[in-house]
This record gives sequence, C-alpha cells and structure tokens, in this order.
Amino acid sequence: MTNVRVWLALVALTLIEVALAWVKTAPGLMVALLLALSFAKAAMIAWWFMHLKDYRPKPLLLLLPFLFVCVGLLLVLLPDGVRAGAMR
Amino acid sequence: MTNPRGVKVFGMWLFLMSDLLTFATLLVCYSALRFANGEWLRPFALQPAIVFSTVMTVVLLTSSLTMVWAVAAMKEGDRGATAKWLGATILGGIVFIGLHLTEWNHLIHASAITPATLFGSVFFAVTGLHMAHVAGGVVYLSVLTAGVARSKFNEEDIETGGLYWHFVDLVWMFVFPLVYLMAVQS
Repeated sequence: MTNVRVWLALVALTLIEVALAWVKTAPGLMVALLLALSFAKAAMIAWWFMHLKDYRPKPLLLLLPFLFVCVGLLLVLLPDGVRAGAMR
Repeated sequence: MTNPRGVKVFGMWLFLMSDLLTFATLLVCYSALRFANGEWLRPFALQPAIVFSTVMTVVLLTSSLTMVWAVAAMKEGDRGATAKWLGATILGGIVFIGLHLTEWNHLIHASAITPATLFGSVFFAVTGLHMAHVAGGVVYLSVLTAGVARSKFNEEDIETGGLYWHFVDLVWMFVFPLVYLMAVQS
C-alpha cells in the first residue's frame, strides 16, 4: 500500500511540474522549483522503490564522492555558460 | 533464501553511481549551453507535446511500481507472480520506447528539429542515452523473466535488476522537467 501511495505522490508532483509550465512561471523561479521537485521525486524513488530505507548501514558515504563530482561539474561549467552568454 | 544485500547489489550501486555521473555531465553541459545561448529554442506546445511526454513519465513511473511488486513477489518466493510483474514492467518499458520514438519522428518531420541543430543535438543526446538505458533494461529484465520462469536466479538477482530499472526512472525525473518543461513555448 505504501508503494501505491509513493506512486500517487510521484504522479502528483509530476502534474505540479506540468502546471508550473502551464501557468508560465518566470524562468528563474521555474528552474528552481523544478529542480526542487526533481530532487524530491528522485529521493522518494531511491528511499522507497530502491529500498534505501532498509539498508543497514546506509550507503550514503558511497554517494558522497559522486555528489562532490556532480556539484564540482556545476561550479566549473555553469559560470562558463553564463560568461559566454554575457559576452555576446 | 540468499542475502538480498550481497555483492551483486553492491556492484549495481557502484555501476549506477558511475552512470549517474554520465547523466549529470550531460545535464550540466545542457544547462551551460542554455545559459550561453539566450535564444534557446522552445519547440514544445503544452498540447500535444507536453501532454505526450507527461504520459511517457506516468508510464515509466508505473513500470517502477510493477518492478517493486516483482521484487516483493520474489521475496515471498512466488516465481509466477514475479514473472508476471516483470512482464508488466517490460511492457511499460516497450510502451515508453514506442511513445518516445513516435515523439522523435514528430519532432524531426513536423518541427524539422534534427540532431544537426544545437537544440536537437542536446535533446537527442540526452533523451537518446536515456532511451538506450530503457532498451537495455528491457533486455535485462527479459533475461531475468525467462530465468525466473525456469527456476533460475534468486532474490538478489531480481533486486539488482530492480535497482537498475528504478535508476532509469530516477534519471527521467530530471530529464523531463529540464529538457521538456523548460522548453515549453512561451
């Protein structure tokens, strides 16, 4: 039953994302809200569907190096993108 | 009953983390390109493109639910139910790929968006890599289903397959909003 509730919540969050596009939310706010909703949905999938909640001990330390690289990529590449856009 | 948190599950987590970096790199590069190009193409109308991709998202989410039920059935030792739910998951994957190819065909022929354009190259690279993962998952789960029906594979094997399938679903939770919803016609 929990899994069906998680699925319903995931579908509901997806519809909220679509609604944000439908009401034409400002781009900056929209990307922030969409990313927040995406991370929430990803966490729900990992926690319940991938059974991360059942892991003892939790392999979160395993995730940290990958998270570090992902955040590093953002810090390295996005300023270049912004700068290139401003140089036009 | 075998330990469901064995070396296969651990190996799959390591693979998924490396795969996560591949998708993260693609999505970060996509974001950097968008920042660098103010006049980013916004080809998707709410109707039918976004409605269509929303249906694809729901199909993928539903296939994740059936995968959860397949893993649960295997834990209870019910191989018949496991094969049934794995079959439903595979069906979901095939429907997703069919819808995706239909959408690609429409984009290329009706909107003239090809991989030769900047938007097209990014769009087809990100969604193409994801679709390749879904296709790989369909083959992987088909092998598991055939094995389960012949009393091969154990609980950990199904759990490992489930991790892969849920990961494919998880990645789409970022692709759908960033690539589709951020390119809705204004």
